Amino acid sequence: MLQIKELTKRYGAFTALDRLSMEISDGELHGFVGPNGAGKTTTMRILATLLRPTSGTVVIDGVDVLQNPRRVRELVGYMPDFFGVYDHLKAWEYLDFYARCYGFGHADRMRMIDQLLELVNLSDRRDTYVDVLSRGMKQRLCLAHALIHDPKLLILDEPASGMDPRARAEMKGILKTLKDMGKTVLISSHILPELSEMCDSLTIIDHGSLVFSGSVEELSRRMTGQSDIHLQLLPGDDSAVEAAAALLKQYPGVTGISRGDEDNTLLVAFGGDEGGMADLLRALLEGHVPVCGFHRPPMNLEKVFMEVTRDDG
Amino acid sequence: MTVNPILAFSARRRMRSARTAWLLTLYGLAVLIFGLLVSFGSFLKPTLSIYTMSQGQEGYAYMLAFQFFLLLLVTPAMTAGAISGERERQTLDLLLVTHTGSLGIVVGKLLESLGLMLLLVFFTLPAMCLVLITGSMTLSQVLVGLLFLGVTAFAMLSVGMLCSALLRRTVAATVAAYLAVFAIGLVTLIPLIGDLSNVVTAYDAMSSSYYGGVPAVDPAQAADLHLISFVINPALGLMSLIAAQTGLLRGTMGNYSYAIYNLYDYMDFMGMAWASMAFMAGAGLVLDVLAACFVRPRRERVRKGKTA
Repeated sequence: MLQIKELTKRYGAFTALDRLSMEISDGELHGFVGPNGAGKTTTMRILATLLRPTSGTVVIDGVDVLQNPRRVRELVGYMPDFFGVYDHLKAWEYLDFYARCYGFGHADRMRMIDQLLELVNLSDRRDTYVDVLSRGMKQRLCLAHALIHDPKLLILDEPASGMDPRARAEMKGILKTLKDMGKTVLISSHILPELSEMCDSLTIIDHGSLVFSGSVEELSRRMTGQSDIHLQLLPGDDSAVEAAAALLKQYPGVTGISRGDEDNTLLVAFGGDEGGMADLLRALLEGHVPVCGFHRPPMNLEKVFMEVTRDDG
Repeated sequence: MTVNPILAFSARRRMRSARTAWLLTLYGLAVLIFGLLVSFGSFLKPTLSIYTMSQGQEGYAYMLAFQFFLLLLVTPAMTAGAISGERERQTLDLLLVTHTGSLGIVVGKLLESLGLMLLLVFFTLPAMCLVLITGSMTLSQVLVGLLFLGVTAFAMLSVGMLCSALLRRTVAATVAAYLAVFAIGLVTLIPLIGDLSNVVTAYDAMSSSYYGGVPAVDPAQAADLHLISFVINPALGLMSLIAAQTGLLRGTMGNYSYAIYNLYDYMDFMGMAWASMAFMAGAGLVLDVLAACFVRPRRERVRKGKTA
């Protein structure tokens, strides 16, 4: 559905996007993650034909964004991170206006407005003026606006920002429905755990460059190898800690040892894979270290995000 | 026929606003009260005379001029927030991703504002038509006068539209629009110096031959004297129209040029008024096309060295 190749956007000396490449398959719910200022909105605005890149290509459903922006606008539904609403306008009129802008006739408009309001759970707010709707409702109304022309690809820039937990849950439910409808969705956030729960795949960018692109499982697998091994020793046996520490210091691949929060627990920074972990455990047991627990916990996604987007400079 | 969606939508919002009702009421009242104060009171008498006809013409001229300056005060602000307001409200992106297009947005916004301006102008038609009672003006003349005001409004709205497309903030766009209108008024006066000189030269050439002690003015030659400044300057264009329709302003113009005073009866003021309307309409169209070119953001500003 979406292919981005070597996408670069410069503002004078500042590089907002640096040769970004990524792909999204049909029907995928794809998370686009990065800290503030990473280049998410710039990328999305280019996809929505609102911004021209400095170089690189973007192809949506076989259509080049630069060559045929008008056709791309038919394929893409865009919901910006910040948007306003008009006063003196009811919810159905708001959608009616944008449906007119897409060139729909009266009968089509009336039918689709009811369907869209139903989809975003705003049927009971049909005649409410948009300027008095809550933030969550406005977000949902804007999402309905992005769906008016039945686009294949939805570009949602931080759609859940500023929402309370209930509104977030509602938004998640709507996104799941859209996925079930076969829509391809690109959704951005600076909160990785929020997206990892609902997305099939993720792209993480930082400083305009790609950090990771792949499935959530792949990311989790990759990052798990970087977490510390939790080594639980026999409680109350102080000599066990000293013996384990002495052995581990000599062991190849161990790069650091620290005390854990729990009694007689050590956190071992170890670069080896699962085979290496088995060898390490065997070495501890052969060294008569009283091991009660030995495991490498999956890395917390918040920590993953901090890890992959840390400032190397 | 499909109505421009921006036009339909903006008009609906505008007409729901209490401000519009107030604007219409106050504008209509201002024109009516001004007309009554200036001269209508004197000719609303049971008998008609040459004097009341002259009063009617003066009343018409005053009301036209009054409306002209009211429009200059109101119109630039009407469109100065058209595009910048969408930017500030963060609704422009939502419009730009639809099929409407930049030109469609500009045309829709402009027609909506122009519609309100025309409504304001034609709202005063009953008051303007009071001059018909005196028999000094015809309905077609009054309608041409209102058309001139409508074209002036279109040109001024276009100035505001371009400022709105160029500048991000409505306040800045509004200030720029008024400054631009003021600058246009001054700059288009510059050719007046050459025009006056040309009229004097032409008149002096004609004055070299006398017939019965009076300069032998060739009507065809006088009618060919086209004053550029009277075409490109809206206020002078209005003076052309008033001169053509009422025969007034001879003395006013004569204060600045004895040649115009003497050639007044032969000059084609109506032609210059039509040319002025054509010029303003053309210039307005050019400004609107330019505005459409600047609606879509070409460059994003980098805020504090970063973009999202």
